[in-house]
Amino acid sequence: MEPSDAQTLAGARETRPTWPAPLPASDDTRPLYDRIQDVIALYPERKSAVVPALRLAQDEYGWLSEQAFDAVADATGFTPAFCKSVASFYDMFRLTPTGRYEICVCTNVSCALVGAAGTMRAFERELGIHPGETSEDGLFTLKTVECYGGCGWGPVVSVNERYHEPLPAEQVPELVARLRADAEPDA
Amino acid sequence: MSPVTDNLKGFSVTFRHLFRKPVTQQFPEYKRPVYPRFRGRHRLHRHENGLEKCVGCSLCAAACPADCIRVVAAENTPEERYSPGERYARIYEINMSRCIFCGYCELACPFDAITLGHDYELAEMSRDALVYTKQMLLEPGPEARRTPVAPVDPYDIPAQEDGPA
Amino acid sequence: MATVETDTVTLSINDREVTVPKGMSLVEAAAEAGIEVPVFCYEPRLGAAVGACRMCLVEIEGIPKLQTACTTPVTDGMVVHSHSDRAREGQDAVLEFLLINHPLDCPICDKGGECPLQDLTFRYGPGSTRMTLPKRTHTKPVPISPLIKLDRERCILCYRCTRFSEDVSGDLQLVTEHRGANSIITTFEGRPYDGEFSGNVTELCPVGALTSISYRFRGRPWEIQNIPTVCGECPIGCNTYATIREGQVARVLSRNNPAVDDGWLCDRGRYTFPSLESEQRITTPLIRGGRGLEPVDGSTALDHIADRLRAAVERFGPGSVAIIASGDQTSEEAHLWARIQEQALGGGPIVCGPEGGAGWGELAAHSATIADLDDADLIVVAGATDLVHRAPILELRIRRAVDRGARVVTIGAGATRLDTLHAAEHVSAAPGTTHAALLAASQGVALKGLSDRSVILWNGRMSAPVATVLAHVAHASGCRVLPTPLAANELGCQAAGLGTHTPAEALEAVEQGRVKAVVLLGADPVGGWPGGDRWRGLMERAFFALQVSPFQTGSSGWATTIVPSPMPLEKEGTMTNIEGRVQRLRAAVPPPPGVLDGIVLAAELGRRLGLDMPDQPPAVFADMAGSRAAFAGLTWAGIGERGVRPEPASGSGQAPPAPHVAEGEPEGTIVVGYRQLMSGPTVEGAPALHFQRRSGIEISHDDAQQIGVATGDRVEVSFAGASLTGAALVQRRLRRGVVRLATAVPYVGPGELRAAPEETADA
Repeated sequence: MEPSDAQTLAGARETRPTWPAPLPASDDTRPLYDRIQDVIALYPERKSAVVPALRLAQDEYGWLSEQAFDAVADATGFTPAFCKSVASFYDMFRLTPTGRYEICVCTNVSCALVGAAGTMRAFERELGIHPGETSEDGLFTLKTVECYGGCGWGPVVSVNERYHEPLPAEQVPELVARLRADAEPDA
Repeated sequence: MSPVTDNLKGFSVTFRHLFRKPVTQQFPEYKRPVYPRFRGRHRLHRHENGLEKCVGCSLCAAACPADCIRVVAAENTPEERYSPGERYARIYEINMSRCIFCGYCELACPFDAITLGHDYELAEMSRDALVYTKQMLLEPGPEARRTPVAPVDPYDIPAQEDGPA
Repeated sequence: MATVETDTVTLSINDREVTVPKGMSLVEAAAEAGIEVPVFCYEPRLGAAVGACRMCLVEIEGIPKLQTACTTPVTDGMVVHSHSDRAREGQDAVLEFLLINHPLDCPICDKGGECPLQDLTFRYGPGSTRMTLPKRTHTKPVPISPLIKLDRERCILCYRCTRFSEDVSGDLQLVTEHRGANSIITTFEGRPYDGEFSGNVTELCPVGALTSISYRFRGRPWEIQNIPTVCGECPIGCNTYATIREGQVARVLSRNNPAVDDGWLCDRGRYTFPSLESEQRITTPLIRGGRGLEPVDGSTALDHIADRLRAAVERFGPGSVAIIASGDQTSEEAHLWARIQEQALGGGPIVCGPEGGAGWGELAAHSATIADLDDADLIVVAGATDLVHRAPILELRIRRAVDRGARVVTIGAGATRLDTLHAAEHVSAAPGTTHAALLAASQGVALKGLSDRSVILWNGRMSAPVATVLAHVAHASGCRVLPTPLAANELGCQAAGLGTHTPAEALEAVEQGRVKAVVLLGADPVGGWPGGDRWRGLMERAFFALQVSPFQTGSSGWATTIVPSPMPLEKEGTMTNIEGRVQRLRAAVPPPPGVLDGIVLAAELGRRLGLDMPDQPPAVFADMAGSRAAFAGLTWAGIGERGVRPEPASGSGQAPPAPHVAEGEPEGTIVVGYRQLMSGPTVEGAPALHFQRRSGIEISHDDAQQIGVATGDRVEVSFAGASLTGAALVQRRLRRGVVRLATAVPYVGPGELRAAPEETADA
C-alpha cells in the first residue's frame, strides 16, 4: 500500500515511510531454523536474538503457537517457556490466532486524553466484539496496546501494523467499511 | 456454759436441719444450669450448608496451653469434600483428661469452628475414652443443647443460712 | 577521614556507624550493623538484587525519595534511616499494596507460621486494609509439576523462583508471562516443571504460592521437628533438615552449608523420602527354606548367619567369603563389616560399588574441595554424560563460577548442559578415551592456563589409568582434581576398610573358585552392575548368599538369607563426601519394626563370630578413628553440624609416573549407558519423581541422517548382547558415532545403532 493510499483511507495521515521495515530476509525461503541462525549471528549474545527470532516465527506461522515457540526455542537454544515469557511481554506478538485485520487501539495516557476510549467504543459498536476477541467472520481482531509513540497524533490506531493517526471515534465507521470493502473481492 | 448446754445447742442445729429441704441436688435427675459463658465440652460447628467450619489449621493446637489438641489435616477432593476450602481436619482429637477448659482454642480459631459448650458431663471409665474424636465433637446438626442455660438473674444457688462451714 | 582505606566505606544507619567493603548493598551493610531491613525478593544466592518487591525501602538523607536498600550500594558518608517515620510509612504502604490481592488463606496455607509475608506484616504492616474492592482471583492451586503446586493468588511477584530457574539452575522453565499487574508465574503451556532442582523454588518462595505437594497440609511449624542430617543419595552429601511430624518424615529441606551445597538441594534428595514407606521395603529377616523365603526373627537370623559364615570359613578356608557393598553404608557400618571380614572371616575380597574405586589414593594429594570451584578461573569437566547424574548440586556451583567469570572446558561426547553455558568451550572425546583427551588437551592449547587456580572435575568411572592421568596433569600444572564417586559414601567406606578389590578382581577370585560365600551389603550386582551374569553365577553356586538391603532387588532371588537394613534417614553415623568431608547423619525416624539398625546388626554378628565390637555410633566412630588412618584424630563430637574435612595426606612431591594411554580413536558406534539421577530403589519408592526420568536414545545429528531418523522415531541399539528399542532424541551437539542412553547397568563400549522396524499393530 502506497502512503498516498493510506492518506485516503479514513483520513489517516501516514507519518513514516513504511513500517515495519521489511525484514531483510523476507523473501528467504530457507527453513526457519537457518534464518534464525543468521539473526543470532548479528548479536553478541544469543539472548538478544530472541525477539527478532520470534518475529520470524510469527511471520512463518501467522501467530505464535506452541509449535512456533518450540521452533524458536530449538533454534535459539532457550526454552519455549522463556520464549513465551518474552513474547507475552510485548503487544506486537500474537499469542492467539487473529483475524485478517488486527486492529490495535492505543489506550495509554496521551491517546486516552484525546478520546481513545471513544475510538475503542466505536470499534466495539461497529465490529460487535470486545478487545481481545475476533469477529465471527474472521475478519477483525480488536486489541488494546500500550504507547505507539504517536502521542502527538492521538488517538493512534494500527491496522495490521500500519498506523492511522489520529483516528477519532467518528472516523471509525468509515475505516471499518473501507476495510470490509477491501476484503470483499477475496471473500 | 456447761458441756450439756453446749451439746444441746449443737444438736439443735442438727435437728433443725432435719426438717429442712436438703441442699443436695440429685445430679443425674437434676442438671444444674450453668452461666451463659460457662466453658464446658468443646463443639465443632458446621456451616449452614453442612460443611465443617474447621479447616484443620492447627491454630487451636498452637494456642492450647495443655497441649491436648491433635489436628491432622488433609486435602479436600471434589468427591470427598468436608470443608469449603482446600484443607480439612482429617483427625481432630481433644484429650479431655488434659484439657483445662481455658477457651484459648476458641479465641485462636479463625473460623469460629470450635466453641466451648455448656456440657460438663465428661466422666468416663477409662482414660482412652476421654480422647474425644472429631466425630464426637462435631455437631450433628442444629439440635438443642443438652444442658439448660440459666437466666443470668436470679441464679439458683441455694440460700446458705449458716454461711460457709 | 584519612584513616579510611580506599576499599571500605563508612556510613551511618539509624545513627550507627558502620564500616563495610565498597560495593556492598545497604541491606547487607545494615545487617553488619545489626539492623534488620525487611526484604522479600532479596536473596544473595540468586545473583544481583532486582528490587522487585520494594519492601526494603529506606530513607537516605539527601535523596528526596525512599530508596530500595537491596539495590543501593553503600557510599562513604551516607546517612540512612530504616526506621524513621518516612521509612516506616513506605514499608507500611508496600505491605498494604502487597496484601491488596493476597488472599486471607493463612489458616489453610502451608506456609502459615513460617511465612516471611506473615512475619513482616506482623512487624511492619499496617494492621488493616483500606481495600474494599474484591480481590483478584485465579484458579488455585495449579500443579506445575507432580511435585509442586502453584497458588497464583498468593504470589507477590518477587521473582525469586524465576530468578532461580533462570540464573541458578538455568533450566528456564519457570517464567513470568505477560506484563505488569497481569504478570503470572507459569511453565510453558502447562508442561511440568521438569528440572532436577525444581524443589528449591518451594523453599525460596516467601509466601505460600509455591508449595511441595508431598508436604501439603502435613504439618505446622509448631507441630514439627527439624532434624539436621545429611542426604544419603549421592556423594555430595548435601546438608538437610528432615522434618518430622508424628514419627514420620514429612519433608526434607536444605540446610545451608556454604562449603557443600550452598543451601540448594536436588529433587532426588528432597523428594525420595516417601520411599521410607515403600512397599518394596523388606521389614523382616528372611531365610530360604523348603517353602521359599520364610520370615524369622532377628536373633534367629543372626545366629543362622553367624553359623553359615563360620561354616564357610571352616569348610573352604579363610578368605572364602566376599563382601559386595554398594557404598551407601555409613562409615561406621563399613568399619564393622570390614572388621568382620578382616578378623573373623580371614580377609576375603571386599568390593565397594560397581566401579570399585581404584586409584583414589594416588589423587589424595591433589584433591580439591567443593568450595574451590568458587575461586577457580578454569573448570574442566571431563566425562561423557551430564554432570547432574553423578554430582547434581555441583552443576549449580559451576554455573555460578561461570557467572563470576570462570572459564569452563568440557571434555567428552558433547550435548551436555554445561556445554551450553556461554563461557563453555568443548573438547570432543570419544567415550572411553576421555582421559587420553584430557591428557592431550592439557599439553595443547585447549587447556592453556591450567594452573593452581583450576579444578578438574572427573565425571566418570575412576580407574587406575584415569588416576594416573589426573595425577600427572595435576602434578604438572598444580591444578586440583575432584573425581566423582558413584555411591554416596564410597570414599568413607573405602577409608573404613570396606573396599579392597575392584569388581573385576573380585570376579576373578570368584571364577578361580576362591570365593564360596557372598555377603551383599545394599548392593545389587545381579540387577545393576556390569557383569551381572557372572555375579549371578556366583550367587547361584554360593554356599551361602546373604543380602543386607532395605529393598527387594534383582539379587534377592538368589540370596539364601535376607536381612533388612535401615535407610539413611533412619541411621546414625557418618558419611564422607566427594571432597573427603566427614558429616553426621542423624536418625530422623526409627527404622520400621523388625529392621535392625545397621551398626547393631554388624556388631551383633561380630559378637557371634567372637569379636568384641561396640554397637553405639560414637563408640564405633572412636574405634574406627583408632584403627583407620583416614579417620585418625577425628572425634564424634568434633564433627558438628557442618562436618570436618581432614587435611588429605600430602603426596611425596615426586612426579607421578608418566601415563601411557592408548592412541587412536575407537571405531564404530560407541554406546554410553549411564545410571541417571532419577533411578535406583529410592526413586522407585517415590512415584511423584518418575516424570523427571530421562528416556530416549540420544543420537548425533549425523548418525540420525545416516540411518534416516528424526527425534521421536524409534531406533534400536544393541550392545553387550542385548538390544533396546526406544525413541530417538537427535542431539545436534553430540559427537558422531556416540549413542547415549540411561540404563540400569552402566556401560561404555561398542554397540550398534539402527532404525527400528515399524511397530506392527499387534506388537
